[in-house]
Amino acid sequence: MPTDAHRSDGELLAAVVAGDGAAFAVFYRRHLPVVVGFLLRETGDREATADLAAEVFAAVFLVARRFRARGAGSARPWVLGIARNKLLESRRRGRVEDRARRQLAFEPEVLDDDDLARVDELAGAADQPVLELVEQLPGGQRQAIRARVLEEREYGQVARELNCSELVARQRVSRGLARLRGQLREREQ
Amino acid sequence: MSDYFERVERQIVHRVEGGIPRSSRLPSAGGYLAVVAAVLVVIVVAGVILLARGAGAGNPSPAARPAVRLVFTAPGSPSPTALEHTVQILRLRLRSVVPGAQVSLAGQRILVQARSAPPGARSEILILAAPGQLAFYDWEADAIAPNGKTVASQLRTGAPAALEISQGNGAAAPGEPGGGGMTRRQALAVIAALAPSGRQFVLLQAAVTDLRVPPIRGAANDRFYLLRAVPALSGADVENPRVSTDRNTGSPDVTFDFTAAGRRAFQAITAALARRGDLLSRSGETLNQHFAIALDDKLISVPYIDFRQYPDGITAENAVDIGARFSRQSAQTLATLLRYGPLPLKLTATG
Repeated sequence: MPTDAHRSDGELLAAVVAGDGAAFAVFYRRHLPVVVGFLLRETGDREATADLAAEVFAAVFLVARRFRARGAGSARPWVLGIARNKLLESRRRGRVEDRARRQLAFEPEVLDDDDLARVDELAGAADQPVLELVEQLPGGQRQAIRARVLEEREYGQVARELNCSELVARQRVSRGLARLRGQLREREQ
Repeated sequence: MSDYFERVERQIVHRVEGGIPRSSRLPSAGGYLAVVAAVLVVIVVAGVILLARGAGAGNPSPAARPAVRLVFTAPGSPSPTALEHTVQILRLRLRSVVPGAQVSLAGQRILVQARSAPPGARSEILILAAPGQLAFYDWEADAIAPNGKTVASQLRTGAPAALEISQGNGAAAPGEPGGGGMTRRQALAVIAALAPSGRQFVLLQAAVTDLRVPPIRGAANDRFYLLRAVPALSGADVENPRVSTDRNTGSPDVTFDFTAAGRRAFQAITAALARRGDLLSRSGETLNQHFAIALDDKLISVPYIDFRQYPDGITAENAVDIGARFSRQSAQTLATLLRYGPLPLKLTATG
């Protein structure tokens, strides 16, 4: 039998349904950075991100029996689907969704500054693949994305540094982001 | 892994191993008939009881209510005096809202327990443990536009973003979510450009109608205003806050009096606003100026001073309405928070 860390997502969730808390812990730690990274990108708010992440994983436990494993495939798209639904529901209601936690009779958890810093760390860990993808972009797009997106410089400044017009700088950023989005979608699937 | 995410993990692992609490478990599909039958029985029994006991029998008996327990801590090592003072204020705040709540000190922690709490008691306790700092600002002089300049400095030139923050637009009044506010990220970028320490500024959530709703990106309340941290008055200048009803709209509101020093400061700020409004309006366009009322990190309201009606400011000899668009419960909460003054310590619920 594989160790917990090497068990597939499907095996872990099946064990969770059978009441295996350790399996849930492995699943949680495996997917937490990606969920936090996704939620922080979408909300831009660390407190809401932490709050929603707790709700997402509470829901993961509640609906674990519905997960249909395809071989040793990742449950990441499934978890991100739950995260997306929770986010949409929260936006629709104007407050962070907490139905799953209420169902589990969660005690409220409040964040301090260290926790908020941890949200950034987790999201940063999830973003690491994005930085790797940026490095793989064609030269002009890579430089434009670095200057505009990572270093947040004005387009005029980016254009001067790349020795091109502002229009070309905008095109390089736009095309680079489109390529990154496509590659991220492929990874998440 | 941080404490927060560890605690979340522990809570879920505990449920995985111990099962979903029976009281909160949703029924399976096969159980719905039984649930419907049970609900019908409960409705019939409740109806009989209500008929027998009259309309006042609607509240559950104290024995049937759940217990609530919350633990609060303050950053650093607060002094015993500060802790004791915090406990006293918290007791006073909770006394009328959560009757029977016990507030006690356990070392450096503050425990709040209620053996039979009414519905919503936990969230009410969390809100009433907020610092409760009231602040009044000169809206146009202190609000910062996205370009990093104060709104007042740009009104003469008619800068669109500054005008929108000052006067609102067709859809939203000044200080409301749609009235020219920024996202949190935009506001933080402005702070970073102006002063990396950020200490000279306060970031206020756009005017709220419910103190319980946190801002969520994409939601209507996800807008913030950046102000210079130089309030003209504070909660210390206010006394006798109470829930009232707005005479014009019939909406719940909060009314208060000013202390002698508060009255002088209020007249001074409203006179300054009237002078500026008069000055800016001479081109034929009326640009009444505003003051902002904030509680902790939330804007409560941004009323204007009609410079034609009050050219010398408002003397505030009589009570003043906050003028917020509140729910009755939020008005009650705000009045309670203001009545006993701010907490000496910033509390965090840790359990």
